[in-house]
Amino acid sequence: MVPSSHDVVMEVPLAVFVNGRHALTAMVSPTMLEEFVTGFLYTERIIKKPEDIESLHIEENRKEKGMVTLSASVLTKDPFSIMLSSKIVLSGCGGDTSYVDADRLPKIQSDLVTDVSRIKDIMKETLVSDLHTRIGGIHIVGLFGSDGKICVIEDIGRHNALDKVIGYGLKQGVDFSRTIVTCSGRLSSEMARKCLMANIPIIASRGATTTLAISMGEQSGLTIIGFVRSRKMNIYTGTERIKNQEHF
Amino acid sequence: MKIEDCMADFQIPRHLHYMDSAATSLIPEPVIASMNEYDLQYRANVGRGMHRLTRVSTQRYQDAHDWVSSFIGGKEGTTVFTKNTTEAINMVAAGMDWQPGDRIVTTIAEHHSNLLPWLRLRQKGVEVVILQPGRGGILDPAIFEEAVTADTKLVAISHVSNVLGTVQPVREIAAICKERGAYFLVDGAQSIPHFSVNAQNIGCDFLCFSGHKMLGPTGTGVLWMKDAVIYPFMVGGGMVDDVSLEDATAEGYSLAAGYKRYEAGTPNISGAIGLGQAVKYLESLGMDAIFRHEQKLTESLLAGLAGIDNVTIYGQEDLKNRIGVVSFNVGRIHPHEIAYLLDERAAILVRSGDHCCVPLMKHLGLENGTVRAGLYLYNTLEEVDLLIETVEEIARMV
Repeated sequence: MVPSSHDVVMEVPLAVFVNGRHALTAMVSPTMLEEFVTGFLYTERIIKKPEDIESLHIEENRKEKGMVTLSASVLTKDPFSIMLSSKIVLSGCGGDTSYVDADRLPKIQSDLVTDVSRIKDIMKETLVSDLHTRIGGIHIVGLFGSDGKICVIEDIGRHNALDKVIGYGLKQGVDFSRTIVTCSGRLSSEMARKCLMANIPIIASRGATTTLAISMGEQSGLTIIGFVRSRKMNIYTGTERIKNQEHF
Repeated sequence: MKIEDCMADFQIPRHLHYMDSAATSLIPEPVIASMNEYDLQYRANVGRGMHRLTRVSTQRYQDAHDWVSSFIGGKEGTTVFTKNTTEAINMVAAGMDWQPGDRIVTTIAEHHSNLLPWLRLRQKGVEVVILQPGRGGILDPAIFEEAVTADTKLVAISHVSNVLGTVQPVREIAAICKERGAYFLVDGAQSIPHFSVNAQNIGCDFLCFSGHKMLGPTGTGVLWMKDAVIYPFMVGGGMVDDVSLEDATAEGYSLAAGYKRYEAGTPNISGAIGLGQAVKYLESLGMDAIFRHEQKLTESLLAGLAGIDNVTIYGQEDLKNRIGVVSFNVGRIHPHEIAYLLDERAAILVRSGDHCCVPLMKHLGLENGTVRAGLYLYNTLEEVDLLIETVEEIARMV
């Protein structure tokens, strides 16, 4: 083995408290944390709009044995329902479970149509990352609207990155029904669920997808595209939203 | 929300004409509700503990600080909650390192709260210089050019006189203090409730005010500091990061950052939450709208009183550099007698006496003080007319 210099990606535990209750502890990249919390609360249906958050404090806790931990404390406009409920069980990165009932997931409400060349272009734009190239081990998620890129966000967790993207979009007042999400890694059911909760009609990935994600896509009208490469892509569900498929 | 729409939130004006807001304001229903909500639904101590109620109460308590900071344009500084303006000013007096020969410049027009804490420092060899306002009670910045010397450590003045309602040129005075290296303390008890005040724009180092004069609960006040340069005059629970008994010669504790180091012990939590809500309430009305409303009332009151024989108005007789704190006398009738008659005859509630400004009263030759009407956002032109009519009736008795 040859010694070498190599940057290592940052990973920090973030404990999220909602109305005094511990909601989750996520391992995150320590950037855009307000967006992460906002997106997370939205996709878990704890808030319906960003204004439902009365206050959000992000604090660095004491360093223990050299490790920094972060906490996010959220108060919603009506804090007492959660504060007094018997439990608060939410999904977390890696958990792929949510208190949101899968059978009651919403259906996509959007007439957005795009074509394969656009999917390829935005995927290419998504994957241009200095951090990804230099360090690796990082997920990239992008949000694109009719005017082009809205944001491209990196995180050690793909679900975190998607929550950050959705949080960013919420803060900017983006109409998600006109947007496409792109991502660098595997497209799980949790990724699909978050798109459904935000009413994002198309999600495309450079990587593979899962059977459960495809099943959710079929039920809800979400367009799921995997393995987006220069010469191919797999459109698993919601094919009616993608034009010019013959141009592969 | 419009000013006229807020009347439903106040009960006292349904029966009485409350014009004593310079002493303490009324309190609207949403502020009371926010405090009741704390006591009934999430009452817990703040800052320490892991359970859900303490987390919620701590966050609401912190949010109240943030809202108040933002309200006065003071997010860059430290916003400490106190009992009232008096406590805030005393914290500065007690928390600075005074040396014999240090100099403090203040004025004869100050409320005792912004005078006595400085006079007491004479015991430590501090020189207290008392300036006098000019005509109408306005301070001429030029007198500060001379008075604020190199050894002046602090200049302390009221933004608005609680007797005369005059608005002082604080920005000009701040510039002089900055140039001479003196700290500048502004007593904002009578300004912050009535018009938009921005601590950064003024350029002061300390801004002190009371919550109970701005629709908040009694027992609440604020000390805002540009830089946290004073030492906390109380120590105890909740204001330290660490305590160590190993070094017998050291204090043995390290102070917490921010406002916490100045708020030892369990604070007035419901009061703080109420004060935060009061700030939100004022913001929902808009400070400019409140100021315009009060200017309209003040203009009417000044004109009405000026037209009555035997009535003397103190301070500016027009709207320039003044707010709706209007002091007057009727002939040689004792101010307490007038206040009593206004209450009995017309249910008008005003203050009378020296208004905690004995040196100013002596300066003005007013042995018994004045009658003072303190107007606020819930007063109406009809009430002002009633006050004028009733004063006219009383004046005819002279």
